[in-house]
Amino acid sequence: MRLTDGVIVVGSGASATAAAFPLVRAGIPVLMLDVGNVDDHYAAVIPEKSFTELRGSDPGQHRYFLGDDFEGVPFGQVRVGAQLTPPRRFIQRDAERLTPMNTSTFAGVESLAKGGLGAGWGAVAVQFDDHDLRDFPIRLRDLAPYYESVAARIGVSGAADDLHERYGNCSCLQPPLELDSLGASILDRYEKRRAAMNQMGVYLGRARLAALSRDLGVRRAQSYHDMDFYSDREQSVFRPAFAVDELRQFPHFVYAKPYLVERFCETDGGQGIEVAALHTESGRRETFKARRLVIAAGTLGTARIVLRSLERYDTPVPIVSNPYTYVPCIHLPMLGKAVKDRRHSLTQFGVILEPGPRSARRVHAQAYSYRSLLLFKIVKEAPLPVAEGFHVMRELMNSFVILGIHHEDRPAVTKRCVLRKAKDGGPDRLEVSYKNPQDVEREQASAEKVLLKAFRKLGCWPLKRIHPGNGASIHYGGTVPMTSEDRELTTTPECQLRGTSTVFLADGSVLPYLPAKALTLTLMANAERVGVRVSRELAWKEGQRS
Amino acid sequence: MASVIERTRTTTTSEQEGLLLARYLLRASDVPRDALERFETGCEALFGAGSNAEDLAFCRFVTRRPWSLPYLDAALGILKPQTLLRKKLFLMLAVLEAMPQNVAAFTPRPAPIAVVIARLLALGISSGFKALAGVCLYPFARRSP
Repeated sequence: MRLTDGVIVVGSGASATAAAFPLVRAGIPVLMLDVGNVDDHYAAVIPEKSFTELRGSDPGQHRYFLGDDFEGVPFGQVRVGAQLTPPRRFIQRDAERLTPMNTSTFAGVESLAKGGLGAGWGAVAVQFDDHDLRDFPIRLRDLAPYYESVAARIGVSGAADDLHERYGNCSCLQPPLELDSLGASILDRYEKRRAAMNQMGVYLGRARLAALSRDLGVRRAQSYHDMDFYSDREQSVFRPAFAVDELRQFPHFVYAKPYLVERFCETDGGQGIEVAALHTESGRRETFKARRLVIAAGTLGTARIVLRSLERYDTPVPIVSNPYTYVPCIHLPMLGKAVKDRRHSLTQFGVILEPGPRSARRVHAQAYSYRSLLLFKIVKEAPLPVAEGFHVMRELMNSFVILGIHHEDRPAVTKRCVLRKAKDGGPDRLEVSYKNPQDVEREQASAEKVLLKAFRKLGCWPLKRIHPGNGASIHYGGTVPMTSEDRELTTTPECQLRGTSTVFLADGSVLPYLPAKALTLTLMANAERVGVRVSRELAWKEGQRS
Repeated sequence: MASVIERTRTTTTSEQEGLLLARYLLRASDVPRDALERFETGCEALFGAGSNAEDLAFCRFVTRRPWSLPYLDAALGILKPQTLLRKKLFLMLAVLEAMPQNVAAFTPRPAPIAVVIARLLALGISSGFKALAGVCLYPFARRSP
């Protein structure tokens, strides 16, 4: 048994690292338990050059663009995580084997990587406001200081434009990243039609991104190499793995891998906690002991640990996931035009559709240009002969804008996950069933129509609406939600697991529903809030003891 | 001995197929050896688990009658977009795209909007005619022995 006189943090993703920072800064010993898979295959073979230079000169480019096992050439029906290129596939490694899921209605992605799903994060870093949090047991004022400190730590760039209030104020905001030609053209048209757009409830603004426009510590400003989906070499885009390395500078922080945490058990009359974990290489089970436990193993991973520890097999718990639609559009004014080579691969601008007569809920969309994911992937979507399709898409590529639309998601009886105990000695299986009620789907379709109508006014003609499947947003939450009501399998508004004295949850599992906006910055802010809460509690107990 | 012959025969067929698909996609007679080898490796990695009889029939048909490939490709794009022949075409397209010598072929060419629209119309009309011809070939190709 390994002992720590401090806190065990489970996981190493955006939430886990955010929860760990206030603890280590308060001098509390922290043991982070993680499986911690890393990319030990592709990082070294990607030269530090721009996309255009690599395309024209590197004979080994097929290795990272297509993958050594052609894992970058997808043929499935479900299109989840297009940005998970071969160098990002380590994010999902071992997840199917160690944390299996049974589902035919939900394309869930779990990660056992160092940095968790954050290793493939699209870096959209926006705050929830009081409208988004209207049915949460906490308000913006509870999160505001943590938004600020997280943004200062990870570096967030953006502009004071029409989305500034909706994306949240931040005193440490870096200047926005440069727009590419397509983004500049669309935002320029928006400027000229702002009044009409706003009347429709549509607001556009520069992307708010956890990507640096100025150097921050050892991390460098964006180089506009358009290789953000493949390489993290310059560290412009924040990855939680960088935070793990930063935490390791503290002498009282220990990062232990490869451990898959299975269960916890409170000890000493609720004064301590024991954690059982599987050493995934040796198959040995080990026990760790601490004063507090913070679980941030991802919404689904955390649900597994909680349900197993409380012996609540076969008990359904809710799950929410932002419904996601993506819409390839042609921006006609850019047809045939030359574009700037200097660009990044992340979202160019954000869009918010405010609630109105056609949509009772806010909708959030992000617009991407298309280049570094290669032409062959979009040719596949066209019902044309491949030879002609390739020429058509080449003609259109500079005018392609991909609109990724996220909708709010609330719990429903048709959206559940259940942990089933393994009968064959293997790992327990999480069964997920997910179906949105028809009236909700109708409302979402209606909101999308309003949004696309507005985009037509900006010269963007939608080609088709693609529904990649439930769970495709890779935004999950709500399995052990925070609530003011004293109900089992929930947490307090401070994210303490009900029925325990020492266990806190600090990831998406505690969000009672998912507003349409990207959730990662909120996960980090809330996790830091949890870390501060735990550090204060331990400091208070320490004070009492002495 | 039999396995060696079988292996040689398969490799040759796969190479022939790769050459046919690459020439069709790039409209060029020179196909780098690397592309054919990568295509073969990709086929083993992605389609090695076996394919149904109809899928294989389409592949056999175009290998024996190379002139039919544009028409059958066009028809399958509408009638059966997930068929093995289309998947192999996409794989070859991916392989060719990820080679530095082909970068120009995959890079958009700026042009006046009227020229772009004319090119798109020509491609659309050509696709339509090919699909019509392909639909006529389809019943024969799916039963190719």
